[in-house]
Amino acid sequence: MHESYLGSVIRRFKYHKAGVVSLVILSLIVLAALLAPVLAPYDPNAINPEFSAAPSVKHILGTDQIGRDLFSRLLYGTRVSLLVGFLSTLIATFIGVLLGLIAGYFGGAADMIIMRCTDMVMSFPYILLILVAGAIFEPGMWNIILILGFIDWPGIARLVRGNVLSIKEKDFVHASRIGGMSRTYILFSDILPNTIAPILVFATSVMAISILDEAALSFLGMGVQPPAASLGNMLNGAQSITVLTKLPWLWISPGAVIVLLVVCVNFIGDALRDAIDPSTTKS
Amino acid sequence: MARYIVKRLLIALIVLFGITVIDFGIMTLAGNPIEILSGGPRISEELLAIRAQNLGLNQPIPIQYLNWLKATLKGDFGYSYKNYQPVSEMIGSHLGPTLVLMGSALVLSLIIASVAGIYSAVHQNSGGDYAIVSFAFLGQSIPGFLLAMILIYIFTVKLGLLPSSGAWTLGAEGRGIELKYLIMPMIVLAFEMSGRNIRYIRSSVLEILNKDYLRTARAKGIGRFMVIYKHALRNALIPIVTVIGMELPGLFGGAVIVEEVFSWPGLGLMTMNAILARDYPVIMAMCLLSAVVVLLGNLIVDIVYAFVDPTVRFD
Amino acid sequence: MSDREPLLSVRNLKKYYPVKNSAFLAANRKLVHAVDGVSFDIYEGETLGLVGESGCGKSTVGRQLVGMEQSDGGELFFCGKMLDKAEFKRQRAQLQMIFQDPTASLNPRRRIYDILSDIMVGNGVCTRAEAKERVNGLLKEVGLPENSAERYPHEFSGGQRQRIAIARALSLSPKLIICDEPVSALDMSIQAQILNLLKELQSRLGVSYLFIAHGLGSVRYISHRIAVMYLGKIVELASSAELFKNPRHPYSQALISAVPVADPEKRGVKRMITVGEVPSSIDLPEGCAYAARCPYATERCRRERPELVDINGGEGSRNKHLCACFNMEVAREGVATHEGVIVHEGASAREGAAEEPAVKEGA
Repeated sequence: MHESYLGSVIRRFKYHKAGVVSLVILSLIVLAALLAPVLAPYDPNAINPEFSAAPSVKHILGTDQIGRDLFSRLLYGTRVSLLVGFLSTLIATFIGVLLGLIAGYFGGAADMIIMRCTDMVMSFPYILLILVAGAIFEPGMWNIILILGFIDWPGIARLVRGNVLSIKEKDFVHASRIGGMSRTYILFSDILPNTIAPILVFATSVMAISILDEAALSFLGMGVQPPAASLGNMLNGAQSITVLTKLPWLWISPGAVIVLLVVCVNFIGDALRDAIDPSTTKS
Repeated sequence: MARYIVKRLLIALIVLFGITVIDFGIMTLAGNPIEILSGGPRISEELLAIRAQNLGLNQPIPIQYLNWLKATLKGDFGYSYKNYQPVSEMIGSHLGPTLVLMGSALVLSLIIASVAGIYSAVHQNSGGDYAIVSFAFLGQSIPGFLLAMILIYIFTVKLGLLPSSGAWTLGAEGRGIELKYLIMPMIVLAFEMSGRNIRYIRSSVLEILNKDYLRTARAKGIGRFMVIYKHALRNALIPIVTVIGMELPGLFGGAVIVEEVFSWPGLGLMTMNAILARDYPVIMAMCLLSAVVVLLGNLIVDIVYAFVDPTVRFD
Repeated sequence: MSDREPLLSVRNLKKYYPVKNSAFLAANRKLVHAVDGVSFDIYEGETLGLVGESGCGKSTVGRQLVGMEQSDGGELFFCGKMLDKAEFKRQRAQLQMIFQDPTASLNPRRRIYDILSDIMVGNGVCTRAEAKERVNGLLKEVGLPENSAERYPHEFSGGQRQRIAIARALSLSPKLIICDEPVSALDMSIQAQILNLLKELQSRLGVSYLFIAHGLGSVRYISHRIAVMYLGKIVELASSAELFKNPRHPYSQALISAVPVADPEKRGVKRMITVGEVPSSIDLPEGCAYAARCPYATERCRRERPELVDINGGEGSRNKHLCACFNMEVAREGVATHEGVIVHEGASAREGAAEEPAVKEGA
């Protein structure tokens, strides 16, 4: 029985208990978010007669100041936060991989220009850039996704570039070149598959950061706009001292879900790192 | 070495120039600030036109950019659209609180991260190690504003120990920043930073501890204490310097959310207000200033590297 | 053997590397003469061994032949045509390479089938549909089990991986394969298997090899002719049998005496041990590069550079015995008469000028 590379990664991933538990929890959260329309007991935007009601049998997480069911909003909010995290990471990874491949493989002027661009984006104070962009473009979910996607790529680009630089001097790449294979083949069949693992690990951290950034932006009122729910804008109301002290269920549950989500993503990233590169395993 | 520094400075200048162009581009995309300024109902068309002319906003974008660049090179950041104060004056008056907050948070987080990271590495796989790593994960995963709310809930609302906003008691501005106002924002920032850095320092120290020369030192019978504190610690300085370098970009802008939540009268709060009001001269100045800090900071870190790690070469 | 046109002719090949950190001004930049005017021929179905210490430039020569490195001078002729850029592109498939480390030369993320089929389909050797059969044929040819195609490189042993690398080199049916120390990363027992496989493939397919190695052991077994390189130059080139029977260059003699002999009868035969430092190829001495380590070196050797001359008078380049040494007659005597250990005590190139050749008897 021979084991594929993927098989050995999965086997090693299983050793990381926190990673496995996180994967299970994250899968449950994703499932719940996907099934929000089925699971939610109420329309997330429907106004119920009970305002600011504490958790009860009828509303298991209570209602907000205008009587919307918190549990339903939480499900839909998680959905939005996950979508923002996932799509912006996808965009950032795509841009980063593409630019990193070009810079690393072709070098010269292309490398110079791309690396100066990453320097520029990285020299911007991260939060300032997000806030400026967030304030300037119409706030809303799709703009948040684009903004985060277009800001988070430099780390990935640098990572990919470094990997390409070391892989392109490997003998198997020379062998492909001697065999007359095209540049596209060498880039996408020789180099990219050998750099996917670290990209994946890096992408998990980008995803964690994206979820946190969406929350922060929405918390400040520059992200996902009400009435649509996101985990961040559900916390927005807690800026008032009344909500903070008198209605703690309004901020405890979305806060807990954000932390749980990000902890899970971070643990999965850690487990992936160990599974992919056995030499860094802590033991 | 001198050549290296000159080269890095030149690159930094190019990057800075690019940043200003991008900045200006984003602002332009966002539309003419006159549209925002016209929000008030009583301002007539003619008055708006006069103001636009005064501010140079009726000129083509590239000209506007060149004007801004020319003024900035002379050290003139212009005037705030909002309250007509010189931008440099505004920055000057908000700089102090931010420096105090960020500086104290950085020092606190460095102490926490190095002590915890080194302890964790030395006592690898112990209960303490697991506790520290979990703490680090939590620090990385809690949004700063949420932690701030929890702290306010506990220390202001429930215990009534610490004030939740501002930097000094009202009416006592002259006496400067008071410690009880500083504690909570500082803890929030330090918690976030140390969460990021504990694991980095831990794995760097682990790597050093597993190096052959330390094994040799141990095999020669040099005590555990001596091994760790004499041989390993000097090398552990390198990751700590790296951590400082990684935190620098956040130092300036990173406090925005925390300053907003705690109404800390620093640059972050000022920037936040400028962003909400689309006060472009202020935003531009802040972006440029923080980029300068970041680039200079990275350069200094690289130079410090050379002193801490004699194997680093500059080509 | 009839003397046909050589398959590949290498003429005056050169490769210089700039030395970093030497000076600020480009004019003062020093060059490493990695390959310094190398010429040789390879005939069809022939193996030419290229031997020398690490750093002598032998691998650079191999890498230049397959286009992995640009040349700084010299000409290549392949099948009688000059290999300029366009011709090289046309002939690319005819020149393949086997690397030293089979682990590094196979993409760890791709199955053997992918590795072998992509290169064939990419070069139009066969279609996707025919690829499976072709791959199985190749694997059989290099002695691998049939189910190998679906596996990943890490599931094979070092010797098996080198077989896969050989299969890849063969997949385009090349006329010449550069073997860059193909067995030195393998266990002794595996080395013999791979050498046998290469020989067998040669007799069956008529492929030529340029076999690069740092010792004469494996080279003697597989090569028809051997070229000995020292600091970027060929110092001796002769047929395998001739070189071992009648080595003329002092450096070749030292290399030959370093080959372990598996014959108890010959136990006790003294060896020639070369000591002293290899002069840096940055500051090559004016005269013969080997003079600093050579026991027979004279004033002339340190002043003048000996050229390769034919001492056999054979017809055609194939039967020539080329050697670059002023004192080859003395050197031959040295081997014949001195039964003791000959210690080549080399002073460094710069200060050794006044010293007498140092040949010591006994141990």
